[in-house]
Amino acid sequence: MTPIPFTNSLTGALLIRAFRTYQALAYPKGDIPANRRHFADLPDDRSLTDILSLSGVESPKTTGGPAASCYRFRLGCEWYPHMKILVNFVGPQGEPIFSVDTHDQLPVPADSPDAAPFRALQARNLELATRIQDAWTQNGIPTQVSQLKQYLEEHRAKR
Amino acid sequence: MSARTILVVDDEPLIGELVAEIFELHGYESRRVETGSDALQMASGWHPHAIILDVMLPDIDGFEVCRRIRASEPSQGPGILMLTGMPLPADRQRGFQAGADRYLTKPFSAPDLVSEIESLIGEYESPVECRCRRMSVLSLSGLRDDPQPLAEMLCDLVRVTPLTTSEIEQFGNAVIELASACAHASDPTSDIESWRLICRVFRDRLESSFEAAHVPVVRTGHPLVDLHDRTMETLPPSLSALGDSLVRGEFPSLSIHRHF
Repeated sequence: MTPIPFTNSLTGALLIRAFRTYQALAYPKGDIPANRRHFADLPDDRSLTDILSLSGVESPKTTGGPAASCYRFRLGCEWYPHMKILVNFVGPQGEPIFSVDTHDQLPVPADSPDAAPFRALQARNLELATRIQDAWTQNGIPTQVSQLKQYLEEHRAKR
Repeated sequence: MSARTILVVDDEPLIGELVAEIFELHGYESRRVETGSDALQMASGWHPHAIILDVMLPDIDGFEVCRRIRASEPSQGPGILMLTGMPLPADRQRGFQAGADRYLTKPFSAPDLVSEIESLIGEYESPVECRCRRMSVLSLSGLRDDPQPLAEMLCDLVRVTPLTTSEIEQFGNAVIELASACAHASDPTSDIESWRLICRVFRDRLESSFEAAHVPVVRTGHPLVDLHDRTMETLPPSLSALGDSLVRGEFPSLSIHRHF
């Protein structure tokens, strides 16, 4: 069996906490689609290996450069089914960093009749992504912001 | 010694603020903006040593910002690190073609970012190395569209003292790149002035540097031109002759194997 890369600090419990925070904000009414429901119904003790084998999970590939060096979990949101959770791994220890991929960076010509509504969709997606990431940071899920804050705190403490 | 200066351009205010704070902690003077137009204004008015540049900005994207900064200051501009969530090799290539010195993807680790900037600033403080590197970046990218920035940079480079053998070799390679571009350009006459300028400045520079001494060996390995070591009596006129032959319009068929 091929070993799962970059999982030193990534645990099933951490993923489940991240999923729950995400879904509370992405589906505030609780109406999660059937094909995304399995991310919401995970028991607390579900193992990392089990979670990574669920449908809707994209695993890092052995080739493909940095773009492939992350896990993606397609959880969607109320109005946009393509939104994903990204887990990247940074630094020498491969620390996980959670972020939201709005998955909406498409080139839409400015003169297209879809341009204005698509920009509105992107803005709405970005606002939700920001709220989810802020909530993760507050709830102790590692994000880019929490990682930078931690670096600052550690270096200030040394001085 | 004055503080190193860094401009952080990121439309995510909190990320920009934290990154700026990190560099303040490392002794830098930092400033922060959130749009491409503000970045351009700050870059031209403040002249930071380095710029950390996000790509997805609300007005002008980071690639275009980078291009405009390089166009305004091709040889002496700031070190530019692109920091972006666009991880594909094609995006990275786009960044370098726009003139970025480094390309780091989000999310990133703070130590990696600090290390990249320290290295970039080190190069900034070593102008010859910095210019050689930019020269090769430019010669590989926008040259066919506009050889003038490369020509100016080459001239700038050879005005820097002292010129080492490896710098001359890099210069030679860049000249050859330019020759190739001229040969392939749809309108090669547009590059004549660039050629003339380069040849003249390089010849003058060699004459003032080496006088009667032997010019260092310059082996480019390029099929177009191979410069062997010769005394000053022969090299500059020969180089000039090469330039002149190209200027005369012979360069569309550049199957020249010149051995000076």
